[in-house]
Formats: sequence, C-alpha cells, structure tokens
Amino acid sequence: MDNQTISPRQFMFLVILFTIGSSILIIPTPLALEARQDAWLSVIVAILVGLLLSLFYSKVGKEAEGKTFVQAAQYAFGPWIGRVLNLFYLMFLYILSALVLRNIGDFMTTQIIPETPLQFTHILFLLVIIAGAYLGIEAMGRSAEIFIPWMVLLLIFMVISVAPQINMEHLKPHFENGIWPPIKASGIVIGTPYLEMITLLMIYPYVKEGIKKTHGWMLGSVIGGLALLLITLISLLVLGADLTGLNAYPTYKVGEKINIAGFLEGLEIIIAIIWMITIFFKLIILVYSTTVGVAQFLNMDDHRPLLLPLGMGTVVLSIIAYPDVAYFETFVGETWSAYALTHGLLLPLVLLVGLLVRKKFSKRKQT
Amino acid sequence: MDKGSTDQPTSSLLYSSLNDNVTMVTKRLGESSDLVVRHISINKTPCAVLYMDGLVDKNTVQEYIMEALMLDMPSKRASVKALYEKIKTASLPIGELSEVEHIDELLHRLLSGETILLIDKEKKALVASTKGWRDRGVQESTAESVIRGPKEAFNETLRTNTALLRRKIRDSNLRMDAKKIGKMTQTDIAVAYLEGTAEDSVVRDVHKRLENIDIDGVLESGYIEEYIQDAQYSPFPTVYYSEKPDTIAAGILEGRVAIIVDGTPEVLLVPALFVNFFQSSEDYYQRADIGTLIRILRLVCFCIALFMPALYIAFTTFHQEMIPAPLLISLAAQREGVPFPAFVEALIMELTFEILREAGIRLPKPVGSAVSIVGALVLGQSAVQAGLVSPAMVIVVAITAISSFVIPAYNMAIPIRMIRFVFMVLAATFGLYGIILGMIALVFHLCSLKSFGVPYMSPFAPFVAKDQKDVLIRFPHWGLFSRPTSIAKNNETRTNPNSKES
Repeated sequence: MDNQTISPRQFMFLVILFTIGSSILIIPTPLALEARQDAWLSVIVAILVGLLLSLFYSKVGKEAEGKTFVQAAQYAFGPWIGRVLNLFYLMFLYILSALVLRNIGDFMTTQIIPETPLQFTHILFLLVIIAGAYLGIEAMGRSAEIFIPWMVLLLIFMVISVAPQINMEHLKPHFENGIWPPIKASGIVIGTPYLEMITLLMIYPYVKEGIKKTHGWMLGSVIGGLALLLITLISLLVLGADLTGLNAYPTYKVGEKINIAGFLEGLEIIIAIIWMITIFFKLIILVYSTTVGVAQFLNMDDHRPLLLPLGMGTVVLSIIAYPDVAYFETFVGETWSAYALTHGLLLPLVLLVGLLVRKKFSKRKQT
Repeated sequence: MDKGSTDQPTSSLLYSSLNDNVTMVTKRLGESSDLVVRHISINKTPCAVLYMDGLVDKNTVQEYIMEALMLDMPSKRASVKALYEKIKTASLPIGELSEVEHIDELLHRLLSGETILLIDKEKKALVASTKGWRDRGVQESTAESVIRGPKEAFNETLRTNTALLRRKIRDSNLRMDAKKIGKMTQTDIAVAYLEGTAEDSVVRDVHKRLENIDIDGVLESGYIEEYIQDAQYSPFPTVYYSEKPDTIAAGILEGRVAIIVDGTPEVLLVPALFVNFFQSSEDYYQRADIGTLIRILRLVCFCIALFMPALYIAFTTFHQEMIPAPLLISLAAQREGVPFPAFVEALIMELTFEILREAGIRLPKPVGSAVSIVGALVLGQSAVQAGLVSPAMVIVVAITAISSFVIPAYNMAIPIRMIRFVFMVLAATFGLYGIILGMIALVFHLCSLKSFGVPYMSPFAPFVAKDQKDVLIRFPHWGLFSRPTSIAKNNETRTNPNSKES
C-alpha cells in the first residue's frame, strides 16, 4: 500500500508479538483441561508444527514475489476466482480481529475495570489501533522494537518473583493418560496462534529483501512459542493442572500470587500489561492486514480511508460474535481448529499451487 | 500585491551626480534621523560619507575613514577615476572594502551598519565594513547551567556566535553557509556543519527548507524551527536548540547541522533524536559512570513526570486492590475528608502548579520569592490543612513537577506537561487500561516521527547496536569509537580505543 518497509528484525519482533498475542491469554485453560499436567508438552509439539508452518508460509510468500496474499491470489487465479479466495481470506482475518478484540475486552471487563461497559473498552482499544495502523507498517515495526525489551524484562521479573511458589510435583505423573492427549491438545496451540500466522502474508512483502526474512519468521514463531511454553509451565507449576483448567485467566491468577517481602503484592497488573501489549500488536497486524487486503481487493490506492469504517464493523462484530465466555471456550476448543485449518493451511496451499502453475505457464509462454 | 511607494526604485543603478545619490538615499529612508550624511571634499572633489548612527563603530569611522580621507590624502589634483581608484586601493585602512552599483544594494549595506563613500561623478560607491553595535558580550549561560564544563553562552550577534564555534572546532572543513531570511528583517542566518562528516543529504535538505521560508521577519530561531521541523502537528520537538557553544560544537562533531540565527542566542541543531533531549553536555565532562546513571535517572524522571498523577488517579479510583494494604489504609485515611474525586483533586493541584510556574517565570526578580512563599507555604500547606487536597496528592504533584525539571531540554519538558493531562483524563475514565493504551499510542506516535530523514526513536527503533554506546549508557571517551551512525555515516572513526592508558 505505501512505500514503507520494515527490517527482518522488526518483522521477527512482530511475529513474536503476534504469536504470543491473544494466545497467552486463552491457551492455558483449554490446554490444561485436555492434556492435564502434560499441557506443556502440547506446546512443544505445537512449536515444532509452527516451525514447519512458518517455513511453508514464507515459501508461499517467496513464490508470491513481493505481492501480498490478496494481490497474489488475484494474480494467480485471475480477478474473479482470486477474489472469491480473497473473500474467504479477508473474512477469516476480519472475524479473527473481532475475536481478538473481544478477548481483551472480556479480560478487561471481568478482571481490571468491571464498571466499564464492554463496548467502550472495545471502542477505546480500537481507536488506538486505528491510529496506529494509520501511521503504517514502519511505526508498527519500530514500536515492536521498543516494546520487546520491556516484554522480556516483565516476563523475567514475573518468573523470578513467582519462583518461590513453584511446586515441581504439579507436573507429575507424566503421560497419565498416555501420549495421545498432549498431542491432541497441541491442536489448540497450532490453531491459535500458528495457523493464524497466515495473516502475516499481508505484511511479508513489506519486509526488506533478504534470506533473513524466512529466518526471522521461523525464529519469531519459535521465540513466541517458547514464551507460551513458559507461561503454560508457570501456570501448571504454580497452580497445578486442576486450577489452571478451572480459571478463565490462570496466568493472571499466578500474578496474584506474587508477594515480595510482604509488601509488593498485586503485581498481576504486570501480566495485564504484557497481555495488552501483545494483543495490541496482534490486533494491529490483523486490522492493518485486513484494511490493506480490502483496499487491494477493491483496487484502492490507499488503505487509510477504510480504517474507520472497518474498525466500526469490528467493534460491532466483536460484541455479537459470541454471547459469553463459556460459548467462546467451546468455540476455541472445537470449532476454531477446523476453521483455522481450512484458512490457514488449505487456502495458502491452493495459492501456492496456483502460483506455481502460473509461473510455469508464463515461462512456457515466454519461450 | 500592494507595494509601497518607497519600494519602487526609479532606477536601480546609482546616479553619477553626488547630490542626486544623496537625495535619493535620504528620500528612500524617509529622511530618517539616524542617517548621518557628511559632505566632504577630497582634492576639491565633492564626496559624501553616509552611515547609520548606532549601527557603526564610531571610532572606526572617525579614525580610518574620516581622518584618512580628510587629513592624509595627498593634495595633488587627479581625475575622479584616479581618485576613486586611489581611495579604493590605498587610502582606506579598512579590512572589508567593496563597491556597489545598485541603489537597493547600497541601502541594504547601509542598513546593515556599513559606511558608504559616494564620490561626485562616479557611478560606484565604496562600502566599508564598520559594523559595530552594542551587544552584551559573551556571558554565562542562564538557561543551561552546568557544574563542570564551559560556562559561556552564545549571544545575540551572529558573528560572535560563529566565532565561538570556530574557536572550538579549528578544522578547515567547518562550513558556515550564509543565508538571509525575512523580507523586512533580512536576518542573517549561518548554517554550520563539518563537510565530509555531516550527511550531504541532510545539509541539502536544511538549505532547501531554509530557502522555502517566506516570511516578513525572523526575530528568533523559533520562527525558523516552526518552518523547518518535520512533525508540524506533534507536541514533540524535532529540532534541538541550545545556547551553549560546547553543546552545539559537539553536535557538529557528530555530523549534525547547526543553524545560527542573528539576534538570538539559541542555536538550532538538526537532526534531533528523542534521546538527544535527555543528554546534557555535562554527561561528557563528568566521569562516564555517573553520566550513565544520570541518563537513566532522567528517563525515569520522564516516566514519573508523564505518568505519576495518572497512576495515582487510576490506583485510587479504580484499582484499590492493587495497592498494598498498609499503604491503602494510609491513603484512604488521608483522603477521608477530601470532598473531591481524585481526578478533580489532581487537576486542581496540577493547574495550581502550572499557574505558579508561569507566574514565576514572568515575575520581576524581587517579587519572585513572594510567589514561592505563597505557592509553597500558603497553597500547599493550607490546602492540605483545609482538607481540600490530600497530602499524598501534594507529594505526587511535587515529585511530578520536580521530575519534569530534571530533563535538560526545556522544549522536551513542554510536551510532557501537556500530555500529562491527557493521561490524567484517560486514567480517570478507563483506569490503567486507559493509561496503557495511551502509552502504546504515545510510543506509536514517537516511532512514526522523523527528523530530517532520521527516525526519531533511533537508535532504539530501528535498533542500532553500535550506537547504544552513547544513549542510555555513556561509554568513556575512548570507547566512543564511532560517530552515531543513525545521524551520519561518513567519517565514522572518532578515536582509537588503544590510545588510552591501559
């Protein structure tokens, strides 16, 4: 859309923040429900799959030759069939952004500011997102560079201060129900965030050229995955599988347990800050990708006029997307994996095949 | 366009008759009272010496022009042409001597404080540089005081200022490009930089932006700053200024470009990064370890000045559960009799403080102490005793205010003052949620800024590992081996680290 570019390192930071994103908030509970004390193993399995996925996505990105997903689809399949594919892709992005927005809204209104109505929480969040997306990908990449050190510091601080409460017994016995449940549960982590990384194909062309692009993506997804692993492990070690599975926000519960010298307590706000920052970045990447995608879908020169109307739609969609948290949890556990698999794996596979065929076709035409 | 009658030159060239020329000049200047016209005759040729009273150095005019022309001229009669050549080459013991042919040029030189010699039947005029007016000399800096380091400051005269810089950097590559801006003030501007060190594109950009300025008058470098800054609608400054020659010289050595404006001691420096506003020249004069700690302290103070009242509001209004119990009890006891919500309380105190600060700046010195007594004792003490505000609030406002004074650059403290109120509103409406979102928005805004093509937040974003040696941490001078690469990429090496005593 614009001529801004980001460096491979900034891209890696964006991948990290995108991977941690809302997953840090919603993953430990369903994981602990399904895989019990072996939940952390699921995350490791998921990281491996995520690594393969990021390799696959950057392959698609490379074949697209500097085109975004939307442009590439319209190039490979022609304007009409390509637009049908794009319709699915953009709907996926749009629904995902509404869900992510709702995640942070739910958390805020239940834990931090219970007096504030959900709508206003969403509106404020989205206003800042729109302002950020208006500034473009360059500002996003640079802000990620500013926030990453803070995230690392806050995470380390949290782990150290909660360390006295760790109980290794919580992880035993290993493989209580065999090896299958942790592998099955890894689908949750693969679905959210790894299959959602398809979004990044919209900003991949804006990363400066170089082999480091692929490395950045892979490294980013691994580092992000390790952060998720750390969070899951800490939840399990401090709370145990039962409490982790029962709490809506187990990590937040862990934060409440921080107590330094009997005076510094209530540091769960640190967790909330980490969440807000990661979710902010995930959402801004989603909103930016969606608007740029819609703009390219409509052959518009500038995506900025679309930010406000699409954002208004996102707020409404986020409110009506699901009625309550319980509904959402079944949705994440049962529906989302399949939905994400279709759009995160099938769609890019189709695109990749299309691009390769197109490449061969145009080569033959030349000779 | 309405052009005044004085603006219309009947002829841009000088007349050959002396009287016509003198009449023309006096008429164009509206028979101004400070124009001095002295008719003399040299070897029976009528001549006239013209200068503006007060703009010239009278001694120079007296000794080197009047005496030379009236007493020391040989009495041998010569043609006008020969006389003119004689005066030009031999008779006037003045360093800068030039000739003009145009009336407008002549008027401009006259108004700049130069002395004009007109000779009858000669269509050229001789112009001798006799500029000399009262300035206040090189004095100690009042706005940026230091404990260790040079105390001198720029003054209002451009030449003095360029000389101060030349005395610090005796390199033949130091350039002082001259410019004139302001249709009426014709203010002299000098663009100073080190050729080969400063980025050529930045120098060209500075020249281009300066040339684009169309304004009637430039009275202070702030006029120039508002025209050339990148972010016109951002509260954050993207142009650095200082009145200390050592600060500006250090900037030039780093490859920055300085813009010196006649009539003001504040010299501009571009490109300016966010971190520059948190660095003081003294960081480099004191030992490196304390320089590092002070810089970190300044950033902490930046955060305190920006967030402290907002955090107080958010915690006491929304998140009481996050305050440790003993502290909460003490806070609640203090706030018991206070009739206002925390936000209103904070707003009252912050506004009071802003009023006191503004009054303190404008007040004549003898009354100043009265304000501080009234402010500190009467307002602070009695507001608490009257139960209008809680003591904790007073502490918060005080630490906020003091923190904002820690930041060395005054123009960086201004956005903090303004944005603080935005954060207070966010805290009062959305609590911590609002503050964090505001903080994210602030970071995004800062990251989107640029100063003359250089990202404002570099070397943090984009991260430049090499430049970190002189940002938060200040390495000892032998460790500052390269110039900041985000500013200029030429001529990188600064020092050989091995040249230190090991």
